Amino acid sequence: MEIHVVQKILKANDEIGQTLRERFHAAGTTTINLMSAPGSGKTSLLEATIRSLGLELRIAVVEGDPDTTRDAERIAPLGVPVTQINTAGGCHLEAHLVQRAIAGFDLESLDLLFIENVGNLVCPAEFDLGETKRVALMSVPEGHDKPAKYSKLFRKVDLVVLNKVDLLPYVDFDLGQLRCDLAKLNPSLRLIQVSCRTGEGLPEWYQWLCDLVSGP
Amino acid sequence: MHEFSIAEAVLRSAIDVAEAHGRHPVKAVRVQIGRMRQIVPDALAFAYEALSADTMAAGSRLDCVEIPLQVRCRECQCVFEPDEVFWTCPGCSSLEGDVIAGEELILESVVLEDGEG
Repeated sequence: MEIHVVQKILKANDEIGQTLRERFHAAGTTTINLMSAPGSGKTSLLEATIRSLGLELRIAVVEGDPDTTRDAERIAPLGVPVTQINTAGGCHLEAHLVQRAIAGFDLESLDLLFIENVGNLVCPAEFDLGETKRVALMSVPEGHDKPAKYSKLFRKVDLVVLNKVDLLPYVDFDLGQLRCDLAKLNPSLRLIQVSCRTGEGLPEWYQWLCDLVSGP
Repeated sequence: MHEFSIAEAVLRSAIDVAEAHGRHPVKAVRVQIGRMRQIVPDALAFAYEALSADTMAAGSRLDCVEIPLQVRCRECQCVFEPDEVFWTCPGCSSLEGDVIAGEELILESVVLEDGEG
């Protein structure tokens, strides 16, 4: 007996993602799904952002990692609410994990929620977390070819942040090729160049966030 | 390896179908996988086999139908199947196109054991 079903396989995830999106919207919380390879500097970017915008905006963080609470331990001293999700080897965050992680947050009292995804440029692209915007972070030592190699993720993001630009003089990173590849993937995609180490370029990122939070 | 998450969702749905139809064991499951979804069919089949052991779907077959990527050009509206990372319209060379097929991740059907085919 063959039963025709024809339903989305990730229906359960998508439904929870949509529920979260509605909750964030109702609470007025802007939510960023931050995705990158391991070691691009997601946590460093969040540390810098909280230090600079923490008085202006009410920020909270959900940290996703296969193991350890090291990222949450870096964020906690900055005085913002933070929850660590350990995926026990899982390579991406799913909506139900985020739903559980934010259970203790008072969303109404938050302006900006960062969801730091598991470091991976493949799997996180497939799972809706209810986010307002998707941001891809890359870093100079990774090389300029990542958007071409991981095009499916880069086609789905709203912004690309390039970190560690203070290393540009020392490595063979072709910024022109990166711009060209990004334009071919998504002509309207914006690139912000920063260094979390020197602070260069970060004000442009902060402005992007503030504009997003204050709305159109 | 998001294939394990996908396989888990497929299995859960297949078991739901079996439970809603007389709790007959699952014989086969057919899924549509778009090329944009970054799924490796062998990895999905492996995950499904591992997860379905000791369930109503133990030993069942997972059939993957791969759906090619199709893009419609925003400029000249022509539909093409890109074979490269960058989607250049063969008609007008525009890079701006919308995916019209290839994003599928669909459970199409479940075959239950009952001797009726």
